[in-house]
Order: sequence, then C-alpha cells, then structure tokens
Amino acid sequence: MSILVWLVIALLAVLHFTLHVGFSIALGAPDFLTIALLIAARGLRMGGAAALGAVFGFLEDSLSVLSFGANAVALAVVGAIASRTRDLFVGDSLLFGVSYLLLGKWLRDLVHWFAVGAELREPFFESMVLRSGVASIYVAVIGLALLWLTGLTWDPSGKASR
Amino acid sequence: MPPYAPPEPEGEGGRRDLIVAVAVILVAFATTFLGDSTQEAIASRVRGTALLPFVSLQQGLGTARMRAVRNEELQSRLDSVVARLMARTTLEEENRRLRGLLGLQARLESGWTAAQVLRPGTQGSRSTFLLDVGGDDGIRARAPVITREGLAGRVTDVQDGVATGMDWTHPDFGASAMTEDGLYYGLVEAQQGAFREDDRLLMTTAFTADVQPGTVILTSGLGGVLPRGIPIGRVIELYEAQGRWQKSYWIEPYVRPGSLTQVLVGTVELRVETDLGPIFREDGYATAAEREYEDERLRDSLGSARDSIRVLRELLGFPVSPPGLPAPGGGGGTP
Repeated sequence: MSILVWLVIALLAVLHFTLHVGFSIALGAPDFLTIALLIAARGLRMGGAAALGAVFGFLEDSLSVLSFGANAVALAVVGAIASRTRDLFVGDSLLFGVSYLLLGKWLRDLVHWFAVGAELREPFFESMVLRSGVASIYVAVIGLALLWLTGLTWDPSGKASR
Repeated sequence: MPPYAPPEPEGEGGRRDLIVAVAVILVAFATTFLGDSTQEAIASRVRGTALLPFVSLQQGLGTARMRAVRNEELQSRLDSVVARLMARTTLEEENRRLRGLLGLQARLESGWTAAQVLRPGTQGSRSTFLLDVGGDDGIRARAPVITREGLAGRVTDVQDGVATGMDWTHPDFGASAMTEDGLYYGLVEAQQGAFREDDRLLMTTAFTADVQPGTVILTSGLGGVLPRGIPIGRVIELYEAQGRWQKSYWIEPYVRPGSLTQVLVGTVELRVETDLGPIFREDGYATAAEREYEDERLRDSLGSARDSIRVLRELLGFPVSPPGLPAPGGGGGTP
C-alpha cells in the first residue's frame, strides 16, 4: 500500500477519536474508524486487516465499561472479511463502493450487536434497522466523498488503482 | 473502490493468513470473557496512553465551555436587557444546575468535590462517563456521583486527573435502598427499556412490603458504599410479586443521565455513615424538569408582580423603568 493510503487511514482514525471522544459527538459524526478499516482492508492481507481491526476495536472498547472486547471482535471480523473481497471484486464501480462501505458498516454493527451479549443487546429493529441503517448510509456517503477527495477510489475514467 | 494490493496468495500463504485472522478474532473474543478488573486495567492503560490526547481535548473543551458560560453570565448581569432575552436559553439551565449544586455542596459536609461530566461518543460507551477529577483530587473507585436531584451513578476507575464512572442505566449498577420513612428496605437495579428513554430502575423488596406509588426511595447506607439518604427516585407501580417471598417495584429515577453535566463526587474524606436525608429533604425531591417547571412558575409570578408594581407606580406618579428593565434599585441578573 502507498504512503498516501496509510496517511489517509491514520488521519481518519485520528479524526474519529477527535470527533467522538474529543468533541463528544456520538451519532452526529460518521464512523471514520470503520471507513479507515475498510480502506485498509483493500490493501492488507487477511491477518493484517483483522489485527488492525482488533487494534481499532480495543481503542474504542477502552471507553466502554459495558462490553469490553465487543468492538474489537466486530472490527476484526469486518477487517478479515473485507480483506477477502479483493479476491472477489475488482471494485472499480460506484455500486461496489457504496455496497462495500454500507454493508461493511452494517456488518460491523451487527457483529457488535451480537458480541455485547444478551443482557445489553438492544431491540433489533431499533438498533440494527433504524440506528445502524442510518449510520451505514451516512458512512457510505461520507466514505465515498472522502475517497473521491483523496483520489483513493474509482475515477470516472475507471483507472483508479494506486 | 479498487484494491490497493494484489489478491491474497493461494496455498500455504493464504492458509497462514486465514489462521492469523481467526487467531486475532478469537483473541478479541476472549477479551470479552476477561474479569472486570482485568478489562478495566487494559481499558485504563489505553485511555491513559493512546487516547490521552483525545480525552485531554474533551476536558479542555469542557473547561473552555464552562469559562464561556461564566463570561456570558457576567455579561448578562451587566446588561439586563440581554439577560431578559436570554432568559430561556441553555445558559440559564446551566446556571440553575450550577447554583443547585453549589447550594447542595454548601449544605453537605466535606467529602464532596465538584466535577464536570464528559461523555465519550464512541460505540458501546453508553452508560459510561468521564469525570475531570481523579485520584489526585481525592476520588476513589466506587465513590458516589450525585447531583442536586439525587444519585446519578458511581465511579468505576480512577487515574490522576480523570476518573471513569457509570450512571444508573448500567446493568452492573446497584444500590441498597429504602423508602423515605425507613420502613422497607431493598435493592435497586437498572432495567433496560425497549428504547433508551424507557430505562428505569427496579427495586426488589421483601414480599411483606407494601410500597405505594409516589413513595420516595433513598439510599439506605447499607453496604458501606453509598451514604444514607441520597434520593434515587419515586415508586411508579408494582412490577411483580414473585411467589410469596419477593416484590419488585418500578422506580422513576430523579436523575436523567442524558442531562448530566455537573456533578458532585465523593472523595476519600466522605464518611459513608453520614445521613444525607435531611439535606436533600430540605431542597425537596424532584427531577430536574420538575424543578425547571417550578422555577418557570416562580419567574412568571415575579414578572406579574413586577408588572403590577409598575402599573401602580404609574398610577401614583412615581418614575418607572422602561419595560424589560428591572425596577430602579433592583438586580438585573437572571433569577
């Protein structure tokens, strides 16, 4: 992976914690950590992507006394699966970009929903359909805009790889 | 989104990668089963290192906001017209809470320190808050966190300059409780509702207890963690009677976690055997919204009285101040 890709991943992680922890913005700010992981997974091998996801997850879990480890599991699973998409999709199309980000975020929330345990699990409809649905669309829109701005994703001519 | 690297290698390399990924996921999954103290130790270490800049940023912003609020307050006192325009802003709400806390802190004996509540906005951080005070301020783990309305939660982890706490919506939250008259004792625990706004407390008592709706529930002081007499909530209704040995009652808590901004935290000087009941009783038992409503009514009454006096002065030929300004010689600050 190029330095630019790593730089974007690092900046997104810093931006995520600045907004969510520094400024205490919860749902108002998108999940930049998942966007960063999904970008990284397109360049990392399966083990590396899972490890990066776990590190990101433990950082988030350190602020949760409710369900320590749940974010680490969720992001590790998403990292591993997202990394495998390189074998299945070339991924130059806009449709793939939208689906990849949207499903990646929704899968992250779904695994987290399972990992928190029955005691803390919120109703499926409220949590996974309403809140996570909106958050996934938010991540897809912001993620695509970021990728387009940084030039890391498809371009209209279809020659996008870095 | 194009791949930034070639596809996964086939054969041995691919298998090794798969094993690494599965191992990472299993390790992450295993951490969910670690003991609370081990999890908190890891979390505390991460908060104190990798996330320290972000936590510090949050504290800095909180302090700056507080200063801005005080600045605004001073300006509003200087300019009574502005104060009148701002009468229904969040600044007033902030002031009311601060004044309430100051009044409470003055009545409480030593053993309490004021703190600001900081909320992380990360996934899974519900029921968790950070406090801008820590071990160097005399805070200890399990210390009670209270507001003017009553019990808000307790401290779970302490470091220098920062502490982590849980509010009453946390599934691990529990408090030894009693009715205000001291007749019935029980244990109060959090119960998650279908929606976050529906979160309530459940008090379990002996089957012989007959607690009426509206009864005030206070901490009992049993267990040596929370002092006696801190308001928790009021009884809504009977939830269930199990067999012939236990009854459960829904409790409406006085403190809404979403509105927590300034709190008082117990320090090492706090004597758990102190009875705080008379102090809270003096102020009355109410939620923040009920207090706000009462303040609003009082303000309306004062406004009507001021208008009547102005009309009377006009009739009697005394000089009057223009509408919106306080009467000559009167204070100009927010009530």
